[in-house]
Amino acid sequence: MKNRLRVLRAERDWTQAELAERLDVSRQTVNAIETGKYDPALPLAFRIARLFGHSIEEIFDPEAAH
Amino acid sequence: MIDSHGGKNEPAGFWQAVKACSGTAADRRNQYRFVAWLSGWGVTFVGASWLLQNNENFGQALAWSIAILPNLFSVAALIAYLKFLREADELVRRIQLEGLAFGFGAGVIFAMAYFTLEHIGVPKLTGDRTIFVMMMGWVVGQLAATWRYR
Repeated sequence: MKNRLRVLRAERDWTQAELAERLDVSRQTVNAIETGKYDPALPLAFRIARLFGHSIEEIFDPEAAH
Repeated sequence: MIDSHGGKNEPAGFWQAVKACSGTAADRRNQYRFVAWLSGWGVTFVGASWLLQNNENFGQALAWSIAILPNLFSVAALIAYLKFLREADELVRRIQLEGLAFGFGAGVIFAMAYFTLEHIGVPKLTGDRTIFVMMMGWVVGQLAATWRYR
């Protein structure tokens, strides 16, 4: 699943580690989501959406292959 | 590779990937607790087996106590592993799930394949060999999943 996580993070000038801390996950999880190797579970997807002030659909696109 | 915001995007090598996929600080604490109980289990299992095999003078009560001791560590290790899994970062949990699936599958495939080989004369399979294959499969599965999600 394609996502805009890297772009949103870059806009806020956060490192992967900083974003991971805000989401209470490991940096590797952030990296795996950004690179499309891993799709987050719903609770984490909601935390990501809330953190960036977008809906889940605005961040994750299930139609687009990564 | 380092991204423009100071975060590493992809670890350079295999062991770096293994180190990187250890999860959050809480995950590492839980992993250390699990490994400590697992090590205690290993040590008491070897010690108890040796004592029971080499000493026939133990009374019933002492022999039972020695035989039960490793199991206390094994139960503690199981509880620690379940706590680790429940509280783990979700990517770490995925890696563990894939490791467990691979280990279990490898053990079953090995045991079933070996049973057919027994019909053509290979020595009978003992349970400890299947357990060994399962544990090695668990480790290999974890490493493979760690590499996939590095």
